[in-house]
Amino acid sequence: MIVFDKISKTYDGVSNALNKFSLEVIEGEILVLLGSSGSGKSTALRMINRLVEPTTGKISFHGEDIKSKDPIALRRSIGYVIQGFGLFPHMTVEENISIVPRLLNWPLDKTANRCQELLELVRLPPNAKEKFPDQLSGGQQQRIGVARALAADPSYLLMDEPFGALDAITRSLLQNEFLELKRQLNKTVVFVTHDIVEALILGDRIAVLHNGSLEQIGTKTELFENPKTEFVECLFTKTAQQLSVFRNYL
Amino acid sequence: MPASFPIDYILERLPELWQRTYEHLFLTGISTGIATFLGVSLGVLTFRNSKLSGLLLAIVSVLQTIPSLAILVILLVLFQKIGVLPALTALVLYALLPIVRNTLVGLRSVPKETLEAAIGLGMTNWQEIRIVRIPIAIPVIMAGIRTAAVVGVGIATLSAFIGAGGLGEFINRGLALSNTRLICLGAIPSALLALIVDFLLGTLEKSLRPKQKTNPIFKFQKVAAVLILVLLSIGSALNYSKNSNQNFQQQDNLDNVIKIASKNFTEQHILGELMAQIIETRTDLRVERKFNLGGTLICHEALKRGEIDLYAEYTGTGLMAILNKSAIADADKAYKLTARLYREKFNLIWLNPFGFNNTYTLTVRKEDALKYNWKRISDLGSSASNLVAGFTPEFQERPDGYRNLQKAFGFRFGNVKDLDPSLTYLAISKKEVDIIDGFSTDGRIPAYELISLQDDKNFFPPYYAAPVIRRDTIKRFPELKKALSPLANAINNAAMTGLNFEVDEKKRDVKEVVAEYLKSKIGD
Repeated sequence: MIVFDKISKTYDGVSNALNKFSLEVIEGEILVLLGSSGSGKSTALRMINRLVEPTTGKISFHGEDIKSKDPIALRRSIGYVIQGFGLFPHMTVEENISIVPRLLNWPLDKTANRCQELLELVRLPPNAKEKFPDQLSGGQQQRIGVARALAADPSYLLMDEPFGALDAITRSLLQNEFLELKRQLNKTVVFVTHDIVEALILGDRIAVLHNGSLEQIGTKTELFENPKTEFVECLFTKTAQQLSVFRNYL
Repeated sequence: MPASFPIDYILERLPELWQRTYEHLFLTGISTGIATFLGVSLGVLTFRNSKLSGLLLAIVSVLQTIPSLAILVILLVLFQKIGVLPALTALVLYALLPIVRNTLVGLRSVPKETLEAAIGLGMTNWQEIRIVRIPIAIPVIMAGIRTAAVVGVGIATLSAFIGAGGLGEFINRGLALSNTRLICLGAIPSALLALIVDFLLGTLEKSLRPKQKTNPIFKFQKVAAVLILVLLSIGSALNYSKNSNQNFQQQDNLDNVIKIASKNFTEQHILGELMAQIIETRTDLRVERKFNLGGTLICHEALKRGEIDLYAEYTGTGLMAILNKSAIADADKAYKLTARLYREKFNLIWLNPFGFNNTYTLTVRKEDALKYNWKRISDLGSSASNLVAGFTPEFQERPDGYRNLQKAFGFRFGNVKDLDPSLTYLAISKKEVDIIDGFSTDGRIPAYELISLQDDKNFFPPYYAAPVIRRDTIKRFPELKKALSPLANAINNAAMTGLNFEVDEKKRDVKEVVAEYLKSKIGD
């Protein structure tokens, strides 16, 4: 369980990227942080593996303040998938997937087996191992990004707009694959997106962020039926309207 | 220009060519290696701190702007040593800029997301550099190393000025003797070497880019590169074993070796060879020739420190350039004072002079001298402001040179051009200049139909040449004094001019000319 307790973050000392932000991530769920750019959603996510440190407030991980943890060890124990894939261009697919096991000094054969397993899991052909990232399509690269994050079998997965750079068809395909994967592996996932449809498809719960503050958190039904702020209401009714307009064209 | 290359000319010099190429590769290879290690380390240490890396870049850039010869001389003074060490240091300093710059650029050019992933997956600072930044930067760093190595091959030719060997040895000798063939013998191989090094490192650079592993053209290149590399290493290995044999012999009788040096012009070369041959025939000593060192200061410093035992110096040079005394017009007094001060200050002994006076002269075209009736330097006074002079940099600076000449004679030339010693004669014969500084025994004066003007104010001090030797060398090998004695007062101005003429104008081999002279005059 990850708990954000009254987290504020300011980069310039004047404006707040996050403002007294409190939140709980429940074991086993996919929690989507939904917001437009500048809402603070990525900042919040990156605090979990200490890529960003809060100005005030406390984040605890299984009841322990993460400030007391070694950031390097913490990061190796959490899977991280980033926007734009972030694969290492000079390494083969196999080397990319094996990076965290390598950092953790796993034996070579264990790493190789794990890599094979992951390739199957994310549905890549076995011959992809020897290829370099830029010889692969965007969808394949993103699958490798996910496989790399899962390599050391972390119980938490942080995903920062992982499907943002893909075309609509590939994105939808990967979203479904990801849900399937999640069901199989039962990880806790914190997922950042600005796309409300993606949030609705993937999120067990959705946290709506706006200007650094948490507007509301809940299941999609709760948010839709019982919006607590104007922003949330507006966000959901607008989408519903758009969908009905869309339906009219059919 | 007699620049044709008969095969036997090259064959005859092939062993030395091989040796010089090996030295050249050694200088370039070692210096590039050290610079790579230093440059990459400094780049890695400073790339995160833009102030530090800026400072580093500024320093290596400034090093790059110092002229190569100047840096060699500075290091020579700093290390108090001629030879490989200052040469290597200079080459390393030159190689740093491209390597440091490319390392910084390479390390910083890694895409943002890649770095974000590296940190986010839990790499430490050093792991991020080692696993991500350096491998991604390697092609860029290699390009820097390649630039450094190719430039290094070029600059290494200058190492010969301070006795570090290499292909510059031929170029130097060629410049000193105005011998185009010799210059080409150094310049062409060093240019080829630069191309080969560029090709080899280029191939290496490409092989470090992972995606080109399977390109067929590249495979061919790789094979060619490996072949060249193998040939070069076999060559240098053979050469090395040959050398180490020689070294072994040298070691055997190191006690019997006498090192003779010369400065970098024809007459010095001849005098060095004269002393060498006469010692070789009249004693059991072995002579090591360290000819063509880049100037008076380098010879003198090397002699003081015992890196050489003997070279020919001129009284005027010793008195003014080394001892910083003012000129003495009387030749005998000048010799005695110089010899005494050398003995007291440096423990160096002046043996008896060879007999000729190679002083500076002002030299003009014979046709001009006849036309304007110039016989003495004073005769130039009325037309001086219309004349263009071509003077060597040394002549313009030294106390018995142009600065004080203006005061003594009360006139200055309309225009003075800075010319390399090897170019002054060509410039005056092509009428680019009207007047040059020359040496009175220079074989080129008669050869180019020039004439030296009489020094009617005794402005130029006497420059009698004599062997200068270390006192401890004389003590160790007393037989040297006797061996060299036939050279005392044996060569007058006409004879020296004649010897210079044979080498400078007839392009004959110094060894041959000297052997012939010794046979005919001294009966050796």
